[in-house]
Amino acid sequence: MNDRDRPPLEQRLRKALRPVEPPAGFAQSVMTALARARAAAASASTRATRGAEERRSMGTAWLATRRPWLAAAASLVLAVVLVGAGLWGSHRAQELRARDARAQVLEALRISSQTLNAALHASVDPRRSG
Amino acid sequence: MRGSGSTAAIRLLAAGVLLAAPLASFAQSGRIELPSFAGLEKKAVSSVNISLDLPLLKLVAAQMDNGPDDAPVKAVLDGIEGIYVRSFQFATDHAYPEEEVARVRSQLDAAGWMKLVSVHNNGQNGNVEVCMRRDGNRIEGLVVLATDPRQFTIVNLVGSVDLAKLSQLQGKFGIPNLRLGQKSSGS
Repeated sequence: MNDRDRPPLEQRLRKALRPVEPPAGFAQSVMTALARARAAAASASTRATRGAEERRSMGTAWLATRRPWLAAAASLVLAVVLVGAGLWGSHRAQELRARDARAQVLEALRISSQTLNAALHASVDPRRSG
Repeated sequence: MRGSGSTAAIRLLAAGVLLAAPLASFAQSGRIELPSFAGLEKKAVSSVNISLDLPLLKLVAAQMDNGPDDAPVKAVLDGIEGIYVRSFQFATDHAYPEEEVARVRSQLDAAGWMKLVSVHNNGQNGNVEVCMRRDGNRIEGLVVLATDPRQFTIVNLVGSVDLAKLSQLQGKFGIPNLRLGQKSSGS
């Protein structure tokens, strides 16, 4: 089957996809473009690294200037938290102690009244002592 | 030699004063010295051992409000400096150290204590005593001591005890009616 016998679509495709020689200097221009892209990427990376370093060094400097204040503030917060926890614990313990003592007071008053009653009864009627 | 002898005498005197100070404080106040009755609660069917000193009573009073429940208790506690209770009940007769109770009773024979009620029922071996210590018009302490072969109760209220205020607590918190000035229905 020669070309004249082929359908027109196939003919067009073959024509479009036929191997074509690249223009002179194509490989060179591709290599140059690649080198340029690589250099740009490297430069961007360097800038980013430098920026990060600059920011880090600025942060370190900021920390260095404020470190005593930060340490003092952290210590103060810790001290407040510890003192608060201690006070709360002490208050809670005292509350529990008071509640326990209150129950003991009522028990003591109950026994006192009971024993006084027994004594008063016994004084009126000695057969009912105790 | 003489120096060391006098130092020893001073030390002995100081030790004597230190030892006598707590006893003197007991003797001068309405508080009596109660034995610890250690280990007795194991032998007892039921036991109550309460020791409330002034700081504890102040703590309790501070936690109370002026509501209808707490106000009468607060009023009773006002003036009381200590509450000490020892009460033991046993399943068998003479299971407790009666000589310890006798030692408590002997403290009430000391000067300053006044016996308000003293009942010795030989038929039932029951004894009840109510003693009060006063300094002028001020009550310094009250002791109620009730014993029979199977139980004994010692109550020591230290400080100004107002029985009228105590009677206001009757019917509350399981506190029985205090029949002050009432005659027994059986008599």
